[in-house]
Amino acid sequence: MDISFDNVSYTYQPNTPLEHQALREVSFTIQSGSFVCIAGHTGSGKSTLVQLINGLLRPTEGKVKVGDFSLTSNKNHSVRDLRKNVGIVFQYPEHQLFEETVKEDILFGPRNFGVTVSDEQLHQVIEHVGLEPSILEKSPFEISGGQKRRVAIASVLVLEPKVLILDEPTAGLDPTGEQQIMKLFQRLHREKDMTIMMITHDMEHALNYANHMLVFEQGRLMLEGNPTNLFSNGDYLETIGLGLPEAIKLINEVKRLTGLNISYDRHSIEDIAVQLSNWAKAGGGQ
Amino acid sequence: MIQFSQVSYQYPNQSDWVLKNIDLTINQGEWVSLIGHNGSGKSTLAKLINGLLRPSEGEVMVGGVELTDENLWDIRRNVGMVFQNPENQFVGTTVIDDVVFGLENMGLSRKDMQYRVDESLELVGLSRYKYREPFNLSGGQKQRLAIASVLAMLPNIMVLDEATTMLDSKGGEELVNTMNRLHKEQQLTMISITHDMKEVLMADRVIVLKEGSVWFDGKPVELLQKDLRIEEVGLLPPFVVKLTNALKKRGITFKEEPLNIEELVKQLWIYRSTT
Repeated sequence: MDISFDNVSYTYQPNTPLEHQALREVSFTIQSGSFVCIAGHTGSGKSTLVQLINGLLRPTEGKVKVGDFSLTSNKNHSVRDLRKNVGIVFQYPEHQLFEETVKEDILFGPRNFGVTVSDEQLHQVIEHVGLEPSILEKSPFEISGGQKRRVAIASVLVLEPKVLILDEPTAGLDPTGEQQIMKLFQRLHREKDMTIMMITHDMEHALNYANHMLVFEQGRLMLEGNPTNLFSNGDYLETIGLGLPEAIKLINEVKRLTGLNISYDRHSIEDIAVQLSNWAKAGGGQ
Repeated sequence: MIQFSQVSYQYPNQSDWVLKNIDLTINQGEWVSLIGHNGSGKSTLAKLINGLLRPSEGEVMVGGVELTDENLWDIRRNVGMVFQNPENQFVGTTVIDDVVFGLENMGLSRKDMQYRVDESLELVGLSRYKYREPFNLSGGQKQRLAIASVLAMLPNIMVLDEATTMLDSKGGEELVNTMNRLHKEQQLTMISITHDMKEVLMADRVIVLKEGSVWFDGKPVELLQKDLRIEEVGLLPPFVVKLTNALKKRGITFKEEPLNIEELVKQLWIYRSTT
């Protein structure tokens, strides 16, 4: 599903003293199957943006298109089918677990949409998030934090959304847990051709996983494009405090001190090591 | 000084031990990073220090005194806690009100209160924001405000429970710099629960917990050098370490283990001019 914003603005509590414009004249197009990273500070409009994509909010002005669905300020159209196709994993989704068993929790969403889920599908989704089927009968309150996070993600994935929206999906996880969850999203993106939109302040994730990045500041879309390109002209990102990924910092530092240009394109550490060691060995005591 | 002797902890009605026979001494003025898997017992350990939890077995001493019902409040004043979401701790409508709140029940004179408030806001670099609403501060500023409110109580020990987790890189840097300053200038004991390896590398000492026991206790450099399987405890080597190892495999030698990008590039430069 392509996603497009056409001059979209959103104002909370309009015509009151608390009026607050969260998004201002935002336009962009995301192609189906993209892995998009959305970056910006608290209050830059990121969360408003994702809520507009699944119809939790309607634009005050402009038009949001998700596949064949159009959303405008007109509230007359149903968003039920849209929500089935656009899954959102909110921050700390494990706080939303409430059923007696993991199985019941995962089935809660499908039941609301009138969808039946076979045991086979259930096992599949549990395996997909890296858990054992035996967890299905456990209480969501007796499993570990990392497992809870996976269960919460499974309960969104079970509806087989075409678009998956993630709000800081790895916050609070230990580094290996974080890596596993990110690899899971990467796999979903590749194998199921899912469109992924991920809010993150971790620029390492943006560089390593995303193929498109949107940068927001005070409700405006300030920058968009391929993460590698955005980082290589990273002055703006630095000034707004988003920082640069370590690999890019290294490449910049090497260039500043030695003049050596390291080429990179979704570089692995090995690629960088080859270039650096060749350079270091070519010194010849000068 | 904080002392744990043979401390074990078990949550009520649960059979698993969250902490098992912990023996630890943390000296005044130390900066300790406390790391480990989700569920390794880090937060439980932190809560035992200020009496939010009491050990099921063993003894916790803070400043040479064992925690009892009588001295609980004194110890809590001595041990400041800062959590992941500072918003949950804000009560005041302005920055200054928020810092004052904690002092109001301490029976201080107005002059003393003013002094402490100004001093703590100065220490975290928020003096200019006194009359701002806490909710309009940036993420890093919010965390620093939470720290200022704790500092005003003049604690000897500060415990930060994943305080950098929700911050962007600038906010995280601001916070770590503030911690560094407090540690150096105020000789505050700092215990920081974190997953951020860059922060860990700045600490004096790192304690790694695994399944409720101490898995490693030593200098951050040693943790990375010793070729321990840190993945086992939920950690991944930081970028600089991975790159250093990749370079070593290609025959580059390092006089000292580089801990940041600047050091790494400098050492490569030296290598190049001496080969």
